[in-house]
Amino acid sequence: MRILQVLAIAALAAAGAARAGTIDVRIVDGHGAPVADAVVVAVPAAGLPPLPARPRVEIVDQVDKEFVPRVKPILRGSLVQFPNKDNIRHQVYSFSPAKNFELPLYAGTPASPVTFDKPGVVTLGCNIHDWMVGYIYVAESPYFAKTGADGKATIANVPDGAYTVRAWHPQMSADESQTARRLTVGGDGRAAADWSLALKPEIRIPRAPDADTGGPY
Amino acid sequence: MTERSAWSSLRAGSLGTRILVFFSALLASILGVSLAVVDTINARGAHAQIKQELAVGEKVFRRLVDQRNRQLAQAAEILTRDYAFRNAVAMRNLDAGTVASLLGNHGSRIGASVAELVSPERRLIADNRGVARVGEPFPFGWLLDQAEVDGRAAGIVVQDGRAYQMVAVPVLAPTPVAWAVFGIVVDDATARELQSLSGLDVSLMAHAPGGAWTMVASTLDPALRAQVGSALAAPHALDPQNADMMLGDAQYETLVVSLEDNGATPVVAVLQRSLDEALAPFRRLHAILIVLLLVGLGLAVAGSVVIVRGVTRPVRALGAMTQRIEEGDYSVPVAVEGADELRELARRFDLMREGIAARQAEILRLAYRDSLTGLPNRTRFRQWLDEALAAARSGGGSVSLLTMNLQRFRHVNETLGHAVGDDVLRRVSRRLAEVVRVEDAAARLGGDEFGVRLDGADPETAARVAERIVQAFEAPIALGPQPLDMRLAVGVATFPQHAEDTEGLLRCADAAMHAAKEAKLDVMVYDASLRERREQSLSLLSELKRAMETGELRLAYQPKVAVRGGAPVGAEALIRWVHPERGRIAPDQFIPFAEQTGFIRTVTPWVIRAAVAQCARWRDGGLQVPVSVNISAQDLLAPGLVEVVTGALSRHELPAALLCLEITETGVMADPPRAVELLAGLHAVGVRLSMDDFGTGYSSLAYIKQLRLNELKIDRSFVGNIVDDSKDRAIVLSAVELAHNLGLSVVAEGVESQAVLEVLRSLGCDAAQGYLFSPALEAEPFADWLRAQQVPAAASA
Ligand SMILES: [Cu+2]
Repeated sequence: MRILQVLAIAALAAAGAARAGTIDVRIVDGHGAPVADAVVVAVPAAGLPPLPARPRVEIVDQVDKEFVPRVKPILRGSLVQFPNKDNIRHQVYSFSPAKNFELPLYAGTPASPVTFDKPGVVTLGCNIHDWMVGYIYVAESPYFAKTGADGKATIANVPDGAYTVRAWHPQMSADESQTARRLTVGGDGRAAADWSLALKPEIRIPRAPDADTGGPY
Repeated sequence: MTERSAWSSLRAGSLGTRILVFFSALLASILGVSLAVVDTINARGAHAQIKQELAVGEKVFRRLVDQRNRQLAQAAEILTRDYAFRNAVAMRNLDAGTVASLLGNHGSRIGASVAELVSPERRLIADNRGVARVGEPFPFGWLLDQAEVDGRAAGIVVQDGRAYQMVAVPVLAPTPVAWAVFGIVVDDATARELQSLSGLDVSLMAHAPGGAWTMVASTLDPALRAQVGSALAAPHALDPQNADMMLGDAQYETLVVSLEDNGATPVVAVLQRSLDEALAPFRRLHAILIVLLLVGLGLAVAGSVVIVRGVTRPVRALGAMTQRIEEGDYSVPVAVEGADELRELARRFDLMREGIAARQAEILRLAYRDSLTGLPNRTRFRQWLDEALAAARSGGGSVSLLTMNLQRFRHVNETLGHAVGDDVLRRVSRRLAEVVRVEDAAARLGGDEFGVRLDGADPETAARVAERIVQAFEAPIALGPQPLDMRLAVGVATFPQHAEDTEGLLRCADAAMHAAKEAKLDVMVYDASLRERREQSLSLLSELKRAMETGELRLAYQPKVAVRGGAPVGAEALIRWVHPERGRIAPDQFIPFAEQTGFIRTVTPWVIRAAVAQCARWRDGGLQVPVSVNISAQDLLAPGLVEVVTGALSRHELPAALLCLEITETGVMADPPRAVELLAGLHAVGVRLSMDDFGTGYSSLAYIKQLRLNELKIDRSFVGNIVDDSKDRAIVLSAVELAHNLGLSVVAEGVESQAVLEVLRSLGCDAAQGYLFSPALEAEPFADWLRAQQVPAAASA
């Protein structure tokens, strides 16, 4: 299955080498500092490609009472496993309209993954550890990427064409839709998009000093 | 000491005032300075303390606000972390009404009167106070701004005129899905709570958008509240240095603390401390200090008065004592209480007083007492008389005065010596005192003169007393083996009959006494005629002096005749005064007077010169007759007698043997050694010497032997009765035998009859003198008498 998929992509790339490109993204904050964990999505003007026949399976770990990764962009319809790597229990939930779910207290990997079939931002929390915050960005388009520590990200294998690109970050003060812009991938097959995002401070309940031995939760 | 005198010891310039003023001023200035220093320190301290209180108050205030915020936030977070609540809010699956009641319920549990839910878009989702505002923007966006940064926010907001302490916490799911806002109303009760913790007056003031300050809560009296707002509106009111605020009449130290400056409506807390209240303890201290000052001053004044009394009272007592001493009162001893030094001083003063008193008494005794007899003296006697006369003048009585002297006392003194004379005077005074018997009545007036004062006695009574005194002296005074027969001559004078004053009375009594003496009477009472005689004798001296110059004084001569054969053997020169108005004045009327005044020393040389001159004239006329001249006691004592004699003799070249000097026994006895020396000198010149009045005195034979006499004269008192009185005859006989044994010739005086002459002849007397032969004759008649005698003599020869 995976091999097929890889083959298919490779076939697509080989078949349309002249028609496939990349979008290079760089995001800084209001002070010009690179912004990590920002999600960039490119939506083809020509219409979204069909979803894969078999949904992808993604993983958001819980390591040391944090969601890892903190921001996880996924394609709509994907399944997400929430394996618990800690030796304590977590109770993962989300009240987000895009996906309202709750995994009762568990250790290890819950029996069944969670399906995210509505695009949008799903904010993950843990009812045991209030400071644990994670984001699953459910993208409607398969062309997306997440910035690294250098604030850069590359959306690869983007067919030539016109796109609407937008950026999202958990702390951005503006609405995501305001970041949308159009660009075209063609010619040399490379396109670039830069954003400067105004970020709000993260409102987060501070970590309990030693969650294993004390604290309110 | 009475109150008045206590203060009188504090006169200006007195020791007391100085002490009092000095100590009071010292104490007052010390206390005044202390008071000023304490006040300054207190005022500074009070301000510093108030500032400190305000600073502490601000801390307390802020801590309290923070604490309430924290409590409120924590309480809010309990709600916002509730899973179901978060779920409900996040999912927006509860209607606003339900959420509001949920919030209100929770809010009331934590004492919040405001409980709201605000969307991330900052619109009200729910409000426990009603639905009116739901959907409207949350008015305190700054609070949420802060909460977005800090995770929670708190502040003071003013809404609808009420102030709230408000917190905003996010509803995290796990990112903020809403804001929960809770508010606690801040009102006067809150302010009072703060006041109870800080001790300060607290006012919360909000700055309304219109620009005016509104009071939202305060501990101040309602009447004062309005003034805070206007005070804050003043320029620089919020300047931290501007710490004073006047509210009503009271001054408040003020600290304005900014509580909320983020929103559109700043809120400040005005912390205040009433300066009056803060200074009250210091004012009490001040009042206590003033009381202490006054009490201290009072004590200083009282203490000074006591000390001053302790010093000035003794000093005054000593002063009073010295004044009494000055006035002559030595009787009151001084008693002083107080410090040892003063008591010692007072004791010394007292000793001094006693010493002065003793010496004064001694001086008085010496001044008023006769040291020989112990009787009062003339001075004292005069005082008595003054006093008695004064009493008699006012009382209408009379005062009599007796003055008396001893007849022949001078004789006693001259012949027996002063020691005997003094003894006589002492016995006389004792006897006088025994007779008079009245205390302080008899006095010795001087010499042998005594006085007796008789209060209330008229002249007759006084005369009787005088007689009694005289009788008392009839008994002889026993003086060793030789009883002395002393006789008194007493003069009596009486106030007011005879004189008006002491001096006059004394003069009158004196005159009467002298008159008695002259009249050989015992007692004589003064009468006016005596006064005339007395006055005459007073003028006698000047007249006598004149008489010597004008030739009124002359010499008469009485012959001395040999008892056997009747031949003239000499002449005694006797002085005669022929006064141009009064006629002849007898020698015994002026010679004693001349002796008393010392004028005799002028008279005698004159007599000697005159007699020598006359003798020389007779010689020149062929009459060889020795001349005798009487020499008084004073003449013997005076220097120059020998020179006078030799001068007179040499001038007339008269042989010394023709001059005979008759001296008296008493004259010799006045100073026997001197008399012996003088008579030796005269003897050497060749002058004959005769002793006059032999037998009246008490001359010792030993002296007579040394006197180089040539002749003894027997006093007429022995001669007169010689015919009838065998005793006198025996005396004369023994005198004659004595004289002859010593180689002297004997002359009897006062021979007035042939019978006497016969007896004298039988007794062996050599010569006689008297009326039988001739009275005293002047020079010419004497010469005639002499020639007449020589004719028969010559005829018989
Ligand atoms: Cu957990």
